[in-house]
Amino acid sequence: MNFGRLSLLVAVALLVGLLLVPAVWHLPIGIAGWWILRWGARDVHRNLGRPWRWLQVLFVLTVLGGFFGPADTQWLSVSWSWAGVLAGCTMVVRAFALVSLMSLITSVLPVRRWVERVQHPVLRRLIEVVVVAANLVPVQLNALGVASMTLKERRPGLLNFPLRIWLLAVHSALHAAMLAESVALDMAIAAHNASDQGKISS
Amino acid sequence: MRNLETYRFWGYAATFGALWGAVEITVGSFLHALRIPFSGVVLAGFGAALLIALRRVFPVPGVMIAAGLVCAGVKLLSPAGAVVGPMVAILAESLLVEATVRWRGATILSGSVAGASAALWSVLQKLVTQTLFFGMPVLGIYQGIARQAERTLRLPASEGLAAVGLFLSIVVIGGAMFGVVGAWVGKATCRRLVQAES
Repeated sequence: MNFGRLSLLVAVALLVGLLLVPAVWHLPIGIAGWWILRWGARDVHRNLGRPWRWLQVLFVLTVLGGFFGPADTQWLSVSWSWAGVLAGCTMVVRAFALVSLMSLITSVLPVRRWVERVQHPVLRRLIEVVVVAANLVPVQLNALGVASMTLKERRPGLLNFPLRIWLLAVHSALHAAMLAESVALDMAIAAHNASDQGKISS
Repeated sequence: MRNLETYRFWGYAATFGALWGAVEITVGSFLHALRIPFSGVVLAGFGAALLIALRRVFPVPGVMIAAGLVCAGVKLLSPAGAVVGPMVAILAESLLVEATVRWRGATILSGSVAGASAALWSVLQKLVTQTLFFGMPVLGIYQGIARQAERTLRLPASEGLAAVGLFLSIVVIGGAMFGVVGAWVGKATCRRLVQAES
């Protein structure tokens, strides 16, 4: 059985188990599902987040459930909710099953192939612009970093922090606007050259 | 050659979308990794401010949606693990901001409404996502927290509604402030561009 099928099976089994099995068993079957994915489908398991994070979520939700649920248990003369604790465990196991299902679906979807097949002119233009923008991200980050350092040297101190943020915001917008004009010109020249080459080759 | 305005439209969408994407990838990932509360609201407010500034600098309808699409695309290409949620948030926020400033342009008033609606959307999306993943009991937990907050803050008893109202008011005011700052940044940028041209 491959990783995808195993993770699909585990996720569906967990969701069905949550419906059919009593709430007290939800956490054990969740741990069993996690263990199977951990050792059987490592590729899928890597996308599910760190185990420590799931433990944190489990802790928070069981504490909140125990505190805010219907008070049905007394422990050390404090009334708390056993039903709420169980509901917290169910919520975490359900979320784990759904996240593993989502992770599998998103890893299986052939997004790149879909993008290559797009023929609509506006969508093609959008894809080209996204590629241009992705290349501009490091440029923008570098410009932000340089501007931030310069402002920090010229106007140091905590009291100048709001002014620095304001100047950085205006500088970033100004830089983006000026860059936009040059990007537009580059795109226009590239399109013009492409149409000229088309005429020559035909 | 095609109309240069079309290229300018996509040029502005590309650079402002890249700027938003750069902030989403760096600051957004940082805030989410540190689990800082209301980081979604802060990022939504920042996005709205950036879009309002863009609309002031380049006042063409649709440019904010285009910038949102570009930013979502940049986020999709980023190496971050979870991209679907932020992509949905970016697209929804750009649609909301575009709808808000559609008729009157990017004024301070429309900017504040746009910022507030974007910030409210981030709260709503978080609630919907958590309800989808954790199930309906999560609403019960939030109701319990709201009731407890009501008692702690000594608000009038209203089954938690007063605490929820107070929380949403803070979110709305924060988002509106981001929108106003965006409008001011756009105005200052326009002034400097005019100065540079003259």
